[in-house]
Amino acid sequence: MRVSTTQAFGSGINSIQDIYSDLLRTQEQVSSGKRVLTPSDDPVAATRILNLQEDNALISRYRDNITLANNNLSEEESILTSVLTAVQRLEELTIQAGDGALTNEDREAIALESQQIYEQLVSLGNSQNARGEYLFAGSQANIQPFQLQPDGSVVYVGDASEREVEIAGGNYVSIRDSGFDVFQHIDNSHRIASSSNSTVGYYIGAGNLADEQAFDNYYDQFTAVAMPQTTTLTMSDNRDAADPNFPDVPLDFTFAYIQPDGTGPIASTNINYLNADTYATDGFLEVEVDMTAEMGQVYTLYLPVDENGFVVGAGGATTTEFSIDRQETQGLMATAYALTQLLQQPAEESAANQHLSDRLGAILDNLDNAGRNLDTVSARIGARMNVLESTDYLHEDSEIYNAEALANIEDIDFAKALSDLSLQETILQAAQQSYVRVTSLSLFDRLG
Amino acid sequence: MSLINIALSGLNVAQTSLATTSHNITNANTEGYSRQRTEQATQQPNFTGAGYIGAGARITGIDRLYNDFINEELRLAGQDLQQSQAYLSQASQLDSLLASTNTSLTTSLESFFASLSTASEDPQSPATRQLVLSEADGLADRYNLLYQQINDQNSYINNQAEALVSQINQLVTSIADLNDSVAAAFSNGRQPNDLIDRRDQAIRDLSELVGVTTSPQTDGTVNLFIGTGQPLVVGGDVTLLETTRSLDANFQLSIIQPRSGTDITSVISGGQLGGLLTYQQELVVPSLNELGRLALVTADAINQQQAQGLDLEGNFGVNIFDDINTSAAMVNRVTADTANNGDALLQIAVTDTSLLTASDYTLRVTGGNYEIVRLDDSSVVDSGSIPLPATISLPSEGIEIQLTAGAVADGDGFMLSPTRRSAELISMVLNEPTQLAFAAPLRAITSLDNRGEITISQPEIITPLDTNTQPLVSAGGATPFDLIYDETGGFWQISNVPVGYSVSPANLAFTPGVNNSLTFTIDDGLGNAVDVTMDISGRPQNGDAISVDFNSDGVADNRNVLAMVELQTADLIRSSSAVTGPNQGLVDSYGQLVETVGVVTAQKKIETEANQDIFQQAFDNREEISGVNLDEEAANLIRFEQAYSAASQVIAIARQLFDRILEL
Repeated sequence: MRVSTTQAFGSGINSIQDIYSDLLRTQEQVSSGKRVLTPSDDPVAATRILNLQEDNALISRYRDNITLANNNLSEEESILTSVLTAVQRLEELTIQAGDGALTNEDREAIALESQQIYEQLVSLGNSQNARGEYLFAGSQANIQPFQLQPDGSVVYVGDASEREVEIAGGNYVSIRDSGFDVFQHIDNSHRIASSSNSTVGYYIGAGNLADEQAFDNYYDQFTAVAMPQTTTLTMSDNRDAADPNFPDVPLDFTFAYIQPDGTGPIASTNINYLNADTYATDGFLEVEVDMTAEMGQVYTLYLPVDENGFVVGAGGATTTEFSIDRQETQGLMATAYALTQLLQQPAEESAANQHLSDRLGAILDNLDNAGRNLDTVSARIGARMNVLESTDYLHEDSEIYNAEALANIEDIDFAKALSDLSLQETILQAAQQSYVRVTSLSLFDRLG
Repeated sequence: MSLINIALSGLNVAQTSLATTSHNITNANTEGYSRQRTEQATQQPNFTGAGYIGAGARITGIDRLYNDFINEELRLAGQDLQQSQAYLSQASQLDSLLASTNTSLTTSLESFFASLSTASEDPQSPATRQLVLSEADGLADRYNLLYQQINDQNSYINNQAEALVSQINQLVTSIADLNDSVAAAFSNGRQPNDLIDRRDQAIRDLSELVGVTTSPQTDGTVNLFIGTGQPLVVGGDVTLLETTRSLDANFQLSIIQPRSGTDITSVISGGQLGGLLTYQQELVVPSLNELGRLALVTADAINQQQAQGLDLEGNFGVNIFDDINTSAAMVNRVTADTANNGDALLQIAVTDTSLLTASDYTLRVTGGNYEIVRLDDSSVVDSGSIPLPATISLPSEGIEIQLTAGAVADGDGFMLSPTRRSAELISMVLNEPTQLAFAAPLRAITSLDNRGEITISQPEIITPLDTNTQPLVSAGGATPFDLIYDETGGFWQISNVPVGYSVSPANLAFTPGVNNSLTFTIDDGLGNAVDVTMDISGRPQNGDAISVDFNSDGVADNRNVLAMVELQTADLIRSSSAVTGPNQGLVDSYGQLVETVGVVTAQKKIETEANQDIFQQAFDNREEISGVNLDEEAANLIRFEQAYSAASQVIAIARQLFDRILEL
């Protein structure tokens, strides 16, 4: 083959340049540790790298969220533990206060502690985090959720919103419970709130829910009536006031009720005088109005007796009204408040004392409900934290897998790259030397 | 006597051969030079009785060693190599621009959505809100930067194209001149070796700039044609090229032949110009369009989601990014042909970013009809007769063409680029962090007086809200209202709706014990309606109530920011005009662009390497025949010098013979 001089020089230079550019590229790969430097180096790998990197970014974001969620939930959990301790103490106090041997002073001492716990509960309900957010206010975290009223009670002004964060694609976990769920949405075990309008000191107990179905059926009729859907129980004292022996006359009370929609009075006939024979000694008459058939409740009335053992009251068909409001839930704060209020009332007479025990029983039931609700919320938090933990493990696995995949696709094999590098270096040196040799050959040098 | 003459003829031949060899040696490095060789033959012999006596040697010609086929191969190889090199050098820049972490859109998108995700955990913190704004600004800047870089590259290509055209014109002129000279020399019956080399080299140089086809003529001239046969050089006659503004003003130039007025831009291929123009057409324009579409989709999706929520003050969110249909932006999407006769002013409103394509469109008026063509697949998307309607709605393309003034006339043309400049125009306009709308507008709560046990989700508004529908779900709007359960009917009844509003259906059927997704419509009686959905499960009892209210003071609510985060992976974009709805997320779409550019660049790399080899082979082939080998010439020098010395010796002998006679 004929070779021109230009060719001899040119091809030598070309091959040196080729080797040099290969060498540079290997050097670039070694210094960056990456095999794929631009997408065009390997478009398919580049797309996978992009996907893996996005996946990694998402995972690290989810893991950040999981850490934050854990912090939030732990914070809530520790507050709920304090709340639960407070509720348990309230339960102890309630049982203690039910002791009939306590004097008013003893009860007042208990009331003082109860008041303090109540205040503690309110401040727990109004807990703020480091950023000043009210944790239990739902979405209105700038507004104190449990607001103190002039009479010392509190109202909840927050809402039922929770806050969720994303912990995996499309997978959200709630990191905060609302005060509504934690403190407010607690079943009232008796489902009613009763009160007496008596001017002579007749008391009505907290009621006794005997038949839920009958209760529901009764109220099914009044869905159109605005809350509190008051049923008015009327008691007529029919003792003959004109009898010269009055009040030493036979007991004669009749009961009727006016339905929430105003219908009535409807006679209610099922009445028991529970301790009619003993009232002279224990100082009160207990009357049971059994309205199980009508509205699923049995009411107990505590009527004081005078020093001679007769039920106080004017007789002659005087009427006393008792209001029975439907109340399905009672917030923890309201229960604690009710307990404090109750304990602060003096109970000089037996009827009042008995009524107090009745009420304390109802409060204890509601405190139980509050405790159970707290347990539920705590269990939910625990479950969420479990989910967080397992999801975090999954993410960790994915991260490891992605890192491996990325390394396989993107990273260079250093051993191979370095050996390539030294091979290319050797070839380059050889090419340079041979170039110098070949090009220095010229016939002209031999021309004498 | 004849002895001296014979010797003289030998001296002449040797001298000429030495001159040719020297010519070869001195031109060893001249580009395009083909080595030459003297051809010698015997002189006419003298006839004597004894026979023919030789009369010496003579030069019959000086030949140029070449092979037309190999020369043409080299020219074409140079043409292809220059094209792929020009393409590759631009494409590699775009390739690393789109994928580098410092310039890639992916990193900015990721940072922006990560800041939103951080904000979802702590929606009312000023710090996280400020971070969202900074990242939004960074995202807009990244779009602007990418646009700027690609646009700079485009301007470079246009400048380069202008420079190339003027070089082409110079070369074309000098080739025509050389053609003339060659033709003149040919008429003398002799091949002008060096002239032909110079012209062939000029044609090779031209081919490196732009692809041409050659047609050798019998008179020694070569005719050149460009594109699909448009004449460039015919004999000594030239047709020059000129650059001019295209319909796609400011983006691509048109290459025309002013003599005939033909636009040959689309048929140019080969050479640097071909490479640049193909690159511009294949990657620059689609990349800018795709980026623009992504910018539009980003701005629109974020703005829409922002309008769906409440800020810290309880107001509906205002735009984070500049509105996609500002009048400046709408006007920018249309360029009118400078030669238009009509005075129509058109603009384009983007009506649905999820249906946008990354294609450009043309609107041309011919014979009293207009026709709108989508350029990526050349399909006609709309046509009709003029006058043009005030608005041409193209719902399946997500755009609306508006005639703001004037009228079109026959022969008018408009370039419609709905997305082209959007990546340049995107900017963040929200400066107040508290105005980020992270909360949802409605909240619901179950009544504490409920007898049944139910679980509800917070209400979700599924209608995209705008300034007309926002008041419906604002404070003082259609809220609060209640859902009250009717056990016998088995439905939730919507009650207590404020005066002037209605909610339908009034009764929402409910199956107890399972999860029910209930959807209802709030209407203001003025033609504005909002659809709301809510999940309710459990076993409610008669009269149980759920109250829905405006989310006043809902500063800690993060439902809307969660919805914003979801936009990162949501399907917002059509992958091609062949699919009817959005099927791709932002990052995927950008990934597709990166991949396309990567694939094309990789192809061009391989192509360039192949072309390099082909060129090298063709170069070697030519060198093998036409290249000068100095060793060979050195040998020739010695050979011809010896021939010269030998001939001189003959003269010396002749003189001695003559002297001998004189001595007698």
